[in-house]
Amino acid sequence: MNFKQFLIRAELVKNEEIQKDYFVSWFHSPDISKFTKPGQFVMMESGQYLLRPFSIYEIEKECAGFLYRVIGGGTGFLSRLRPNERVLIHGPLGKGFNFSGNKSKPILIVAGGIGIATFPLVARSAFESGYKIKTLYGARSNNDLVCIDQMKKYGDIEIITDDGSSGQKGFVTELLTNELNKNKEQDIFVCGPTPMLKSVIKACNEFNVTAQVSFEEYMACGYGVCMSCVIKSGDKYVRTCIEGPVMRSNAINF
Amino acid sequence: MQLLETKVGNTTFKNPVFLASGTCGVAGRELAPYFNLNELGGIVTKSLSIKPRTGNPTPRVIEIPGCGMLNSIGLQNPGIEYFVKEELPFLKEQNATSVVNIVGETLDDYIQAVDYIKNRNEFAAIELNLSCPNVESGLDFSQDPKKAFTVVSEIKKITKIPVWAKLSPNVTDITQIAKGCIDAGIDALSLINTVIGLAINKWTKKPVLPRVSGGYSGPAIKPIALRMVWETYKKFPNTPIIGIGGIHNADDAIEFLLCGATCIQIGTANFVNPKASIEIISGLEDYCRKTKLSSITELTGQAHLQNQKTVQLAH
Ligand SMILES: Cc1cc2nc3c(=O)[nH]c(=O)nc-3n(C[C@H](O)[C@H](O)[C@H](O)COP(=O)(O)OP(=O)(O)OC[C@H]3O[C@@H](n4cnc5c(N)ncnc54)[C@H](O)[C@@H]3O)c2cc1C
Ligand SMILES: Cc1cc2nc3c(=O)[nH]c(=O)nc-3n(C[C@H](O)[C@H](O)[C@H](O)COP(=O)(O)O)c2cc1C
Ligand code: FES
Repeated sequence: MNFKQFLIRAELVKNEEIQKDYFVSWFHSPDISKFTKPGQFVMMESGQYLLRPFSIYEIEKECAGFLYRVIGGGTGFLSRLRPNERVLIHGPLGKGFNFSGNKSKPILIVAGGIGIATFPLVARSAFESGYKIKTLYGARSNNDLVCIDQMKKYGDIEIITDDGSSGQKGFVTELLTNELNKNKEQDIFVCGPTPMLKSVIKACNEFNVTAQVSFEEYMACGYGVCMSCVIKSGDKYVRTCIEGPVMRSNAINF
Repeated sequence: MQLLETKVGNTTFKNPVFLASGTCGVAGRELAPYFNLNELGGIVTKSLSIKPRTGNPTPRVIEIPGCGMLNSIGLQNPGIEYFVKEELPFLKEQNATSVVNIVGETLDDYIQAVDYIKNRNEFAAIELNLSCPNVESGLDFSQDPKKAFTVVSEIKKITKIPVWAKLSPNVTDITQIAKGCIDAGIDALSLINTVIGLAINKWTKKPVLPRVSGGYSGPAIKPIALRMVWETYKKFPNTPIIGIGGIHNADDAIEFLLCGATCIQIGTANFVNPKASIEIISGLEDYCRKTKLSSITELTGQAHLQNQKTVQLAH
């Protein structure tokens, strides 16, 4: 069996508040760091009853980093962890993004809100493999933009905010439409809140292109045993923690 | 005899620890990477119906902080035929003991599903899910002793495989339903399924789950389950009980055994720790050694005895 998932009590190395309410937690987790593929996630003990799903944001040597916005009990708990404290981490889990193998076809990243958290590792891996990358990034406001300098290292970035406090005013789908009008031959990687995913998929359908979309459904187990994280594909519900979180937009009826 | 070896009726199990239906995928495959499935007493399959079921719309789960979770999966399952063709061979390959859990909306559904497997020799038992709260008709069989009697006796007529009935806690007196099953010749009772509950979203001002209510599971339901095991054991000490509800560690499991359970099933705990069940097995073994038991079966029902001696641990 192809099995590279671990259940470890990982030690916090450091907690950085990179912006108000946005944290990166680094854990010493050699196994997870070694076997993670870009776009995968972990389930993490967060002082609540259920574990919480988080994308793997970056890998640095033997450490894995997780970027999150504090929105509730679990993310609050993680943000207050101190170095040397341990939490149970289960992962890496799920299927990540697929690189086409065709290096002349650029990768277009479309991120909404905290959906950006999954992309630094994706962009770095793609960049190191020789792909050309461009990022379209939408957020609520100036205060919710993170990772911009990092993403700039790997390619161009265009920003749009709901309130116009940074970049253009509007939604990221508008940037995508412009981009597709210029060039449809791009591999589109998407992650963001559900309403944004819906409108991005709609746009892709209109242009007759397929995107790889990372879904963030509610996950109770993260490894396929509970059937909570499902999404409709044809007439069936499939588990996004196993078939995804990254799935092809044409496989999903949203 | 091995320390943890246990019998339910005439069937011997390696130990009393099972994975509960619906908390280990269709039949435990996803747990195989974490331990050998044959280390368990057994695996109870997801509830299987004669036809596949798509299940309920999402969201299907909501956490109840500190207490557990509510679910409304709606018995999504690939159907009994798919299970036998696609999952059963894997269980056999792993040398795992399996209990097949069957669900239906009508008596005929139960009969047809059991008919499909009635002559197979791979199953240690059939567990009838009389109690799923997430489908229109799901609770009928576990809220009316006569209906419970009917379904159990019809199933007992068609198969020699031992039959367990999984009961709902959502009744006034669970022992009446138990009696219906016992009169029909049930081999064991699985207690309990989830407790009906509800959660409201204060922003949308609506129930979180599209079907309004869901099944409550996890640590908060342990005392409810223990009391139901207690009452049932007190009235029917000769019917084996499989204790289920909020079991997360060996201490929880021991409580159930002392209360009257012969075996136990691990449910929601699998979500937060895929290794919960095998950690419980080694915890039980530890307890037996520390308390100098020659067999775990000695624990069953001990809490009902009058002159209990407190265990003095040798330090
Ligand atoms: C595959 C995947 C990857 C994710 N990656 C990231 C990430 O990298 N960074 C980040 O900030 N967030 C990420 N999330 C969302 C993250 O899981 C939630 O922010 C987190 O669970 C909130 O927990 P809480 O206890 O702080 O908040 P709560 O008060 O419990 O919940 C607040 C909101 O968070 C969401 N949520 C809560 N529990 C879950 C759960 N078990 N599964 C999915 N959503 C949940 C719900 O929408 C809920 O309304 C990801 C989700 C998924 C499914
Ligand atoms: C997500 C989920 C799905 C379940 N599905 C089934 C099922 O298909 N059939 C069944 O008999 N019980 C089902 N159950 C009930 C469990 O088997 C168990 O009886 C219940 O959860 C109480 O135990 P616990 O607190 O240890 O989880 C399900 C429980 C959960 C949480
Ligand atoms: S989260 Fe449990 S099956 Fe996907």
